[in-house]
Amino acid sequence: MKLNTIIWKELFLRKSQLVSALLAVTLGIAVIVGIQTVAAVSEKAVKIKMENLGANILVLPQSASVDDYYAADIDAPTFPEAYVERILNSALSGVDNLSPKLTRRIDTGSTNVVLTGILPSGELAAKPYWTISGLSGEDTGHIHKGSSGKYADPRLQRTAIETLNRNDVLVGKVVAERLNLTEGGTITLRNHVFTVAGILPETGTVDDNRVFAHLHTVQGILGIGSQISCIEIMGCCSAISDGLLGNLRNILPDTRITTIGQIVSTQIETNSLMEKISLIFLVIILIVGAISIGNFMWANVEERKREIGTMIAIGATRGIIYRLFMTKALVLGAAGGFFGYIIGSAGAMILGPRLAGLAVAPMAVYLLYAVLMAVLISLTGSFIPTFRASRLDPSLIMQEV
Amino acid sequence: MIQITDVTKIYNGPRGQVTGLDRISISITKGSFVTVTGSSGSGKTTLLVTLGGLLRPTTGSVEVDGQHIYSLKKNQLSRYRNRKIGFILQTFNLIPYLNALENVMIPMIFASENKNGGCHPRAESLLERMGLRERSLHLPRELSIGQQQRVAIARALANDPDLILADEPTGNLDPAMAMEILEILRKLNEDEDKTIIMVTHSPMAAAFGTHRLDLRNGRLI
Repeated sequence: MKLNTIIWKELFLRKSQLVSALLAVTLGIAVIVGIQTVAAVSEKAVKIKMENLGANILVLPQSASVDDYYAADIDAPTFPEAYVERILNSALSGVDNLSPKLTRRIDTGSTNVVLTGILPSGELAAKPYWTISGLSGEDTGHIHKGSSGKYADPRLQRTAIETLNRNDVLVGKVVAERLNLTEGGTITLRNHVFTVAGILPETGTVDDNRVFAHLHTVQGILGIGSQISCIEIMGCCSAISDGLLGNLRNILPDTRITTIGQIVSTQIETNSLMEKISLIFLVIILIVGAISIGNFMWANVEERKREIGTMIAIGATRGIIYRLFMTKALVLGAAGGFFGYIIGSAGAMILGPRLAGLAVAPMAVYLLYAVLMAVLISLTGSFIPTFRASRLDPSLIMQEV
Repeated sequence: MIQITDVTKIYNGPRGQVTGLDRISISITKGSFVTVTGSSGSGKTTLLVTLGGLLRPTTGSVEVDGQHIYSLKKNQLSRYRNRKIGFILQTFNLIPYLNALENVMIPMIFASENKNGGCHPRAESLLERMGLRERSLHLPRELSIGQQQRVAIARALANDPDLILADEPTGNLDPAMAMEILEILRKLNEDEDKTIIMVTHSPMAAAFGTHRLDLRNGRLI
């Protein structure tokens, strides 16, 4: 026999008290795990949606407005392309993607088009929904596709665009219809002949009315050197709320930095609301859980006064009394954390799709957090009753005193 | 050798101070069987718990084999009790969820700092001496009153202490069982030279002692 035998046998002696104490910790942890699991999945889902929406921060010249960004006037202000390098070299966290752009409305002879110079690496990464038809899988030689398989159904040939050659253009759906352009055809802009590498799918944005070419080619044909009209940035929303905008303003003091407010603020609000709710629940559960365990332990010490007194009389040191009660608290906490994780994860998996419209999978790392938190609650709640037990008067074991 | 010198114990209760022991001085030689008698509230149990290192006297000193026991720190005093003293109580105070064998092993587990070395055979041997070999795996509630007291005696002997303090050990027993327990204590005193100090109301039990102390209002008479 060891001390653990005493702890284990006593633990199951008062089963109803054990169950109620365990239930308080288990349910508390279950609520936290459930909320955190749904919140984490929700955050991930919003992030994916954000990526699909594209950039959420705009860097414009100081004198430009957001309207200039959309109007693309011929004399709209610009700033040096070197600013992109400045951001990249600053090692700012939370910048997921940069897309420098030079946009100008130009005359094709018969009509006006908005020509936008892009750097394929940044722009195409920011817009994974930009796809083109692979023309029954035939390689045009202009575009590198994300996949190279051939399918009977041409719709399955749609692949994400990965690169854009210097003399190629991607054409928005509306402008392609207006100018009667097709993939593989050509378009002449400012005496420069471009091959239409792809017709972009309709997005319902300004992109539908634009012709996209390589930034450096556009700079060349417009004759405005290494200048750009804006940098679109895909910033991580938590980084935006943590001061990414301020840091960008410090790096680029002579620019106007603005967010695509509604998108960003919605996500920040959603995330911060979930965080606040989680925090409130966490605090309440910590307090309620600790009180519940403390109450159980206090009652346990009261009921076992005579037994503890006997143990002290026959030689239990304070260390042994602490081990007896704190090990019990540890077991209760670990069990509460484990069962809380199971119930919380199951609850999130069942309720997540119904309440948040999200498919929720349990997060293994929360098992560790749940057990650690429950053990902390249990040990904290048990400390005062254990302290009291260790200082019980052993002469209580006698009848007459 | 136990030396109690000028020991006074005053309890501070809600209705004022109560004197439990009043300037008691006693010497008890090793191997004595001392019975302590007196009416209820005379200070018998107070004297026993003071001798057992369970209740610090208000004034005076308790010396066992040259050691002032109340000069020891709390944990040292716990270890001292564990190794040097066996307690036998009127209400047995067995741990209800542990069987007889485990109850006997508890002081040995405390003494060995939870290492369990050799506890089991010694506990079995002690239970056998008490005639309880067949009952070693029974819980206290499954044992008769007399058997529970014999388990308590086995527990008191677990670490082979020199001193056994017994508080009304026959108080809850019928005369036959009481006699059985008293015979066990006498044997421990005579055969193993254990010093036994026993508080009792019973004149029959008091007659088993080699020395007798009578208390009244916290004073020796």
